[in-house]
Amino acid sequence: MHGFPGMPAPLARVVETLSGLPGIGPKTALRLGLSLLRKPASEVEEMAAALVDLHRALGFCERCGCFAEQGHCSMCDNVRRERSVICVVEQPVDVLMLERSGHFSGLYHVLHGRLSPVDGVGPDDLRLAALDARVADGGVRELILATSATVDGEATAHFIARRYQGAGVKVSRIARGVPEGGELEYMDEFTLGRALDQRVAWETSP
Amino acid sequence: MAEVRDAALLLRRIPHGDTSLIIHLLTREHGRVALMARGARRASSPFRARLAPLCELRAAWRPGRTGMGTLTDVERGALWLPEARAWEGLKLLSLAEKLFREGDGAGFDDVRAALALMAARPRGPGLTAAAWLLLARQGWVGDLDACWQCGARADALAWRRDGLCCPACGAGLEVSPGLRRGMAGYLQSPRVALPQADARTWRRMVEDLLRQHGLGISLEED
Repeated sequence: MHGFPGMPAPLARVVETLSGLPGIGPKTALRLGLSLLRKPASEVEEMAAALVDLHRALGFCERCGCFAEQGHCSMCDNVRRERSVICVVEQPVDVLMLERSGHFSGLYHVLHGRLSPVDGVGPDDLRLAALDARVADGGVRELILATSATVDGEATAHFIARRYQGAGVKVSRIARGVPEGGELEYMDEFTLGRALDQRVAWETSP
Repeated sequence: MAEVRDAALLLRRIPHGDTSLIIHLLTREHGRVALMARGARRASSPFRARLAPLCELRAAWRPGRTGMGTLTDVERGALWLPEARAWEGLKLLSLAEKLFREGDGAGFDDVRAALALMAARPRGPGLTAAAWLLLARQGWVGDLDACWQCGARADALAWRRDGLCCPACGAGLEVSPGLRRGMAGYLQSPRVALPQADARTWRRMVEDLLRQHGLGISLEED
């Protein structure tokens, strides 16, 4: 720690460790370290145990690639979920976000990345073989492509759509457009253009 | 320092901190530049939707006194390739990203021409032709009717890993005069069709050239 001369070694170690986390610089790390020092030892021990447990207990589902505690995730183990619809996402955290919406009752497939040749990420680096196996097993009626609304995400979606076009599976893409609570005045022209392109027919109740 | 404006295309976006991006632009007048796009990953940032690859950007930035400049404005034009072919377009950009280094003054018009060629040709051979054009404009590709080793003009030419060669200079995969005419025609006109075997040979030639220069980029249609 060059910035804080005379800092006790245990505190310096904590500051150095914390400042390796995203969004935390040395000053914030020092504030957090001092705050931890002020807490009762039992609370800090609990926190340390939780961090150790994070790596020991949490892994990824062998089948879908979501977060899992014992090889299989809670979604794959849930017999009430619709097994014929699979939502394809880039990261495990995307599953948490979609689950929060409460609008999807099918299964997921996490690619653990998206196609990006400039970063050296190609089809072999994504969990596509596992998706091939799930589709080949049969029983999959629809793949919902929920990759990012970026050119990389779009390239990934098109790539997957082409891959399964002859497999007898319906392939759909999540819609893009005006967000909930969004005012048009503040929308960028590309989002608005997409929203118009993907407009849906207004169904009036009888 | 005075603001600079130029036509550009986006080569790379690298997340920086919680909300910013370091971007690499290939510009028409200033070559490749690296810029800080502050707050570009925020939902409210006008940069977020505009900083997209495969389309012409009109960028403005303030050069840094000692290091990286800062992006101040960007406008986005239409996509140069249909979205359905973005994967191929990104492969070509990854090649451009390796060909053009910061400080190089050229590249923008070459990449734009290569993308335009790709857009006017079908998937697969289109990417091969675009990569060939890009390499030709950088001087990596020689005359299709002459040996690249001794310069002798010959009908019978073969492909070795490092280029075309005449029988006197070596042996390799046969590149018939018909294939060479087909390649030249394919670059010139969208009406020229390339048989699958010829397209495969051409792709192999481009991949060999890339490998020779330490660039392991696959052009295979996935």
